[in-house]
Amino acid sequence: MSSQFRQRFQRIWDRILQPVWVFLGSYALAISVLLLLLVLTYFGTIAQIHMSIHDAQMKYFDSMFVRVETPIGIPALLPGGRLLLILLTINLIVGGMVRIRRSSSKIGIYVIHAGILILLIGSYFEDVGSEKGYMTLVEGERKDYFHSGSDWEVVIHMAVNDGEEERDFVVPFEQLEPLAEGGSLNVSHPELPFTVRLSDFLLNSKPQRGPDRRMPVVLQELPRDADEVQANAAGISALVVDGHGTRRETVLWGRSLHPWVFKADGRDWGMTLRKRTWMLPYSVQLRDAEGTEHPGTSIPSRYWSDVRRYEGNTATDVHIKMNHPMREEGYTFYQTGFQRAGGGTGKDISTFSVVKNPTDRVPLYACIVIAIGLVIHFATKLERYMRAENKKRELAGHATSTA
Amino acid sequence: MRRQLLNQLSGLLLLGLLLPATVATAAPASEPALPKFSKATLDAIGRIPVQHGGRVKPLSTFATYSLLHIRHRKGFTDGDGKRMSSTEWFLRASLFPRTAMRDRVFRIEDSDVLDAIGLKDLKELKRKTDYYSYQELSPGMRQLRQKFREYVQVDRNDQTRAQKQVIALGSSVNIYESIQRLFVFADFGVPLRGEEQSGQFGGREFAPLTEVLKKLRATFQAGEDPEWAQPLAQAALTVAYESRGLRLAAPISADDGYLADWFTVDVMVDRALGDQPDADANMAYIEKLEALHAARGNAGALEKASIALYEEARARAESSKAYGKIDLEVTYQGLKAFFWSKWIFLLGFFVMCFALLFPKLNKPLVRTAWGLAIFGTVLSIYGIVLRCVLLGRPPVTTLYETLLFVTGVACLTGLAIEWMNRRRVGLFLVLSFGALGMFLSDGFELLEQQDTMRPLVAVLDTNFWLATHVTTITAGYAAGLLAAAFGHVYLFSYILRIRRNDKEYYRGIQRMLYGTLAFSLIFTVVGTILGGVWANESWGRFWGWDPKENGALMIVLSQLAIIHGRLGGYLKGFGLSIASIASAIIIAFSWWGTNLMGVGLHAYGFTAGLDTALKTFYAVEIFTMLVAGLVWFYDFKFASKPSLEESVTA
Repeated sequence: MSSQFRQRFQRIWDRILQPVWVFLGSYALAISVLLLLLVLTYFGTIAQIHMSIHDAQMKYFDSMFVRVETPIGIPALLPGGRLLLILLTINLIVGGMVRIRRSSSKIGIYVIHAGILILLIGSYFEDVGSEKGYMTLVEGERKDYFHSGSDWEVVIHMAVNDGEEERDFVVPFEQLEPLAEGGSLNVSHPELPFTVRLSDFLLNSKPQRGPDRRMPVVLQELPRDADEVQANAAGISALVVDGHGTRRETVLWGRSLHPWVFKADGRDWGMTLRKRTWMLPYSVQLRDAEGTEHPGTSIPSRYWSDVRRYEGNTATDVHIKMNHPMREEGYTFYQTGFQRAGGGTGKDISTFSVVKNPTDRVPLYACIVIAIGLVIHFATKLERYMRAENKKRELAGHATSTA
Repeated sequence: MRRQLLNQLSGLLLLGLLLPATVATAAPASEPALPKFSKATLDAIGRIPVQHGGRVKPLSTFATYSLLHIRHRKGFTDGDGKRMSSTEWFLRASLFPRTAMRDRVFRIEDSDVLDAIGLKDLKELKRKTDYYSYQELSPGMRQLRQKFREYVQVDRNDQTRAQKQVIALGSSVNIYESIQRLFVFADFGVPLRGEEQSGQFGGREFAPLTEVLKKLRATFQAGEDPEWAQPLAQAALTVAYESRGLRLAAPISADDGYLADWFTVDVMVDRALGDQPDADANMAYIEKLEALHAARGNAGALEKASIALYEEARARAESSKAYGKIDLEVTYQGLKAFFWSKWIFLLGFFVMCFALLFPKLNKPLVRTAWGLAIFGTVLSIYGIVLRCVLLGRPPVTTLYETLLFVTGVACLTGLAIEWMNRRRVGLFLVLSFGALGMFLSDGFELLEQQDTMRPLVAVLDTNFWLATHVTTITAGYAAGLLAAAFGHVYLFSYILRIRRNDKEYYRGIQRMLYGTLAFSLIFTVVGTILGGVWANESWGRFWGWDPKENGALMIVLSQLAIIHGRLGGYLKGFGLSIASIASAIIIAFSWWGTNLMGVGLHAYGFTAGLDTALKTFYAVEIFTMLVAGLVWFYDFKFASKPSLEESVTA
């Protein structure tokens, strides 16, 4: 039985699996994937003349397939960046690390391929495991959270009495985003005495006077600003139905300063649409922000922020400037914007990119590994080349002297 | 108080843009004859430190790039055919504005711009591209200023070609006027209004600025404030404000004179009237300027006044530790390292050609070519090093600098290859690549028409990343282009049937090509990843798919594909050469094309020039590949003997 199975497997291996295995590790696949990635990158770059970098990234590089317009006007279907990177990773492992001929002269190649693999795997984890957002602080202001530039969330807040624990129920962006295409989402939770029906999610909108007193405000859809995604103000319709069948309907707008408040089951509830928010394990206060330009020009020369980080009972002063971020407990604060005091407040404003990326340092390590591999490989080759050239010259010299 | 006065005046004086050149056109024609400026005068004036474009530089540099912007040349030739340096032209335009206004110094590329400013009649008298004097353009100045103000408000991407032309001419006129009006305060003096003011100066209608300042200072220091004093101070500031075009004087004893704001004439007047500790120093500087203007008709007196002004300016800059690099920059500008290396490389190239034509003289000629190649390379690298010292940062921060650096690295690599194998192909490429690179950098400077040493924006101001990422990736460009140059040698030899049966010759080129490409790959891969690491350090993201990043990635991908193609046996000598040229097109796209993305029909001047050059490069390279492909096809199809490709790789 087992030998029969083995024979059958051998046949399948010989006829199907081995050719596939060989193909997956072949130079032909490597070259095809590299060239397709090259073509895709070209289209993804040229596309940025007419579309934002964010949209181009989504269409060309964060996709499995993409339809492109060729220069001769005929549309073509190309594999997207995601698919190509998966294929490249497979090809790299199979061809560049498993099937490659074992020899000391290939050490450099192993190292290079290992470095690229580290880079690709690091990028994957960055893609799925990082939190990237912004924190804007006016001088003197203190915050312990930061928010996304483009993603939104609906938060249902339960008003609590003294001694009770604060409760927030969050509907994440991944569930809201499909609603932009239509449809609705029913939200329920054992602790919620009502259900919420969310629909008509608009990625950019503005409020308008409604048709009657029952609906005093409605949202008007605006074209999404693809270049300045932070400038968009999302909107969504919400219908709350409690256990008695009472229906309350409203619209939530992303720029609204106050939550929508309603009563259910004898308790006050609040509902708000806000930028996706992450809490920090500490708070940050902006003490001073400053920016300078090169004399007589409007070219920014430096901008920086003096912040104080509060954690428990300790406070630490940190100086953040371009190319010198603050790294603390897995979060990194980068100085990205500065706005001089306006509106008579006398207070400058700093914007920081805040990033939590567990693979933050991976590209640097990968780069070092790849550089070492490249130097080992090509130095060996160069040494061999020079030895051959010298030999040739010696032979030529010998031939001349003999003649 | 004085500052307030200045602020009040600013609204009025902004009209300076609106008004035609009142000073130069309405002034009486009383100007001494131009003397012959002595060498010492030009040297002293050229070394005066000024602050312009965000940095401290010698006045000669300011004059050179002003002239380059206005005339598209670094020197000037007057109506009598006399050639002069930019410093000499600067003295002429500032001290003798009435004479200079007849100099045809404005280069207009497309005379259609004259329609836009109401000078249709003038257009008919001129060629499409021609030189114009300030006087000739004067009737259209009001319209030019009006349109200039209007068009600069339009988003750069939406500006039409005609609008860009108006903006270019308007900015040339602005630069010219900032020089032309530099001594207005000395030319006219301060107008005295009413008997009271006039009575203070012996009944005159005008008084020299320094005389007025001394009188006012004495009055204010005595604690008096008579009725005539404030209006007179205002008049002095108004006159000085006309001469505000250049930041001439360093602040006294500033912590860092390179970063502090330097003073224009009006600011010096304002401070001379105030109670700041530098009041006397500002007074002294204005006196020196006035003395220079007074001495303009006499060559000897002018020399003395120039030296006195230079010493005053130098002492001020030194007090703020901001003079240090002025002399070095004058040396750098005077050396013209890139200009000379261009001709040295070209000479070497011709020597190599002669070596091929006259085999008997081969040895001495090749040795001469070696010498010229080394000399040209050393001179270029010396120029690059001087720039690094002057700017206090690594050698590559602008596109112009990338041209110099790429040429330098390619020449060094080529020399190393030649030293290793002595096949003369490397030497030949060093000379041709060096000459081409230097011609291109020269052309780029002429097109760009601005100082090539500029301050950096905040995000780039990090020597560590500039020294690692930028130099690495640029070295990758250099080696990649050199590899393509070997590809050209291979293809041209193949097309022209040079050494058709010499397999070793073709194998040698193939090896050099492959080695250079591998060398390039090391730098492009490491440089591209380092770019991501830098972006991660600065913005918190490793890769953002922006055009410049994508361009670098495309180079890496193309080179990886070529290397794997060769390892997999898909590419041999001919294919490798074709692929290296295709990779060079990608390098050009990444290096220049990504900066020109979206350039359309509205391109003008600098952008249009670059766009044309880049498209020409693409076309020539594609044509080369096509011709080589056709010859290969012919050989493959019709040649009875085995093709070269087969014989080389056999």
